[in-house]
Amino acid sequence: ASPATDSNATGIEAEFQLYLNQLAADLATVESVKATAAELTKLAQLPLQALRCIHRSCDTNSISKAIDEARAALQPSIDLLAKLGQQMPAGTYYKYHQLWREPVQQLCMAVTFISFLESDRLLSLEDAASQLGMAGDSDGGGGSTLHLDLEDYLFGLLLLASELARLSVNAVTAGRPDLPRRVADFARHLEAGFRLLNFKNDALRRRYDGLKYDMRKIEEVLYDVTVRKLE
Amino acid sequence: MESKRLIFTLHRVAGASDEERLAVLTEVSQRLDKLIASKLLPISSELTGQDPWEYRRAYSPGLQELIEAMTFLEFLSTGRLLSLSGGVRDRLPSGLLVSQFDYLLGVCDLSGELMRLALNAAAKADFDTPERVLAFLQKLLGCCETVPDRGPDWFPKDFAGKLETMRQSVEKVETVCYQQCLRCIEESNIQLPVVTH
Repeated sequence: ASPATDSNATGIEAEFQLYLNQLAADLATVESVKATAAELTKLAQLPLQALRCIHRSCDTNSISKAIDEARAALQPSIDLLAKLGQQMPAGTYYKYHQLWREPVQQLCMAVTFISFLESDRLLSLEDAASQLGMAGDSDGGGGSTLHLDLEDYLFGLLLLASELARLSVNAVTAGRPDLPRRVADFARHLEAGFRLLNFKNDALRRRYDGLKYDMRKIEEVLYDVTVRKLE
Repeated sequence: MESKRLIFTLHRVAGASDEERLAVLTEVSQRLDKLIASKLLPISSELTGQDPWEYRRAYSPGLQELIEAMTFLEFLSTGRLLSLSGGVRDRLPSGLLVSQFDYLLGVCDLSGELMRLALNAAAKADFDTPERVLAFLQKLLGCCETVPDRGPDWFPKDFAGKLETMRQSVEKVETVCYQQCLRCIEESNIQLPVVTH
């Protein structure tokens, strides 16, 4: 074989060796991110579990108790999110995003739910992010820090809408006929806000399509309560 | 198959009098014992000495159906959830592998049956049963939601789907109790017409 062919062959090997090394490093990061994400998925359920007790007993005391428990249950998730941020090299936020979207959406739902229960207020993205120890969407800085993605925040709000629709029904059964109006007022503003948005044809849009069913349920419960003068 | 028939029989309890209830529950319990003896005991003896996980897939669906029937019976008798270690495994031949997944999936299916029970009871003006079912189901759903819905290969793939079905069942029972509540309020507010001359 001529010297020219030999050096070409070695060139290709060296090239591929480079790829293999990079791939191995990348896979190692993916594995560690996946492991943290799995842990986060487990932990993210806990605040929701605490909050969902409200469906059974929603007098003022039970609600405060649920909120306190949920807040306490949020802390481990917040700590884990910080750890997650450190595991991903700078500038790779969106590369691994899909691995941990779901628990972040559920945590978003938890904090916005608490905000509604406490003060009927819609928690802004910035506030939600800061409560979870993340940066807000706008200071992403090119996607280098762990920040709360706008779409995940919106998804969390849609999850909240479904939960509130369910709460409306159970509130009446549990003796709180005043709650459906609070839910309805909040939900109407939420829906109005969502109507301003232009969606692309993705998972968020499909989830948004479900909002009208939640709204219908909320309005029906409010009607039932009003027409019987239960408030 | 027989498990399905047992479940069907148990549904007759809705709206039945106390003696009828007791009779049905006893009958089902006996048929359950017979079923276990006739079908599961042979399986368990066939499998002695084998790795239990190897053949699990063959009898898993039937086992889940059976667990559904057993837990249904337990709920109707005592209002409690039949546990895996104490209740289910005790009643089944010891050589038979009853994994947590079979139990979990059986329990998920139970929620569907309880939903049907509640709906039928409400239709027969039994307002007590739907409330008890609701309390039970909400607790059950809360616990099932903490189980990760995804896992390694041998983790049941249909768990996520069954969980969603359970949520819908719970919502249906919630709606029934809600409507009951409204009706009760209405009835207590109805003024009897006053006849004046």
